[in-house]
Amino acid sequence: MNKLLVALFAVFVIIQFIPANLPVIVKKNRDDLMATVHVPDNIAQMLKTSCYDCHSNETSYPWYSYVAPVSFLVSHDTREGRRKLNFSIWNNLSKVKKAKYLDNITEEVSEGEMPMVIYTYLHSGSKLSEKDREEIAAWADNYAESLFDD
Amino acid sequence: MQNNDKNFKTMKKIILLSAMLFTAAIFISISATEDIVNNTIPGNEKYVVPEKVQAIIENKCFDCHNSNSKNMKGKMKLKFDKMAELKTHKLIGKLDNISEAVTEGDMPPKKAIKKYPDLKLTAEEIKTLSAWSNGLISKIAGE
Repeated sequence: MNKLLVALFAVFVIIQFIPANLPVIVKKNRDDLMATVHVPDNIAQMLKTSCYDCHSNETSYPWYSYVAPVSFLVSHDTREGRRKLNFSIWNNLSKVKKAKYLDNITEEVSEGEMPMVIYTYLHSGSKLSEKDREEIAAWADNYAESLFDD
Repeated sequence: MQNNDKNFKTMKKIILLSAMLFTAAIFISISATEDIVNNTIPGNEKYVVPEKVQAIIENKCFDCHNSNSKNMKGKMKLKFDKMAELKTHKLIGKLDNISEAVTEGDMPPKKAIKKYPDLKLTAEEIKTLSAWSNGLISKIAGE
């Protein structure tokens, strides 16, 4: 038993030396959604607390995200999140891409697929209520529709 | 005289037959028009699916992506039988997602292909699908 604990601790120490390569934090992004489009305050607030850690360059990493093996998971999820949707580069996207992302936001949020359960579990205040979800979905849908007013 | 009578009867039959055919033709053409009308939901003329694309969709996508699908996630994201009813911005969003999903190899899902290898899209089919959705997008969005 003692040996097992020592072995586990040794593994824990060793993996601390494997770089997790957490995606870089960029606090100011001039092409960010919020910097270039008017987003209602309540929506902006929810996007910031429930989405921006993975879906923007403004990630704030809690202390445990620097500790392996959690760091590996955080690194992977943040990288994937930014790849799928990055609010920090919003202004560079074409209308068509915006429509795609807004459609995805509507579906994922209203069906409860996002934010991920592991994220809301670890970040108090990031959980969205039914009403929050409806508001975000309605905002995304209206915004997308306004892009193609004709 | 008897010959004339016979001719007249034949004539009558031919006229009657022609009249019947004519009436039938009118009915058929009306019902055909009705079919066309029923297939066109107002406001959806933009959503055009060529036969070649339709065949790929039916063989490789439709089983999960339809409004009666048992695959909840597939149904939630995309319903091919309801595409024509979508508003412009939604239609564009879905089409761009289709193009991305097939070109990046995210769709059909690897799990599904493992179980049903026939579902895998060929390079040719991927090209056809993405060309179709991108073409439709530029037509609709003018971009």
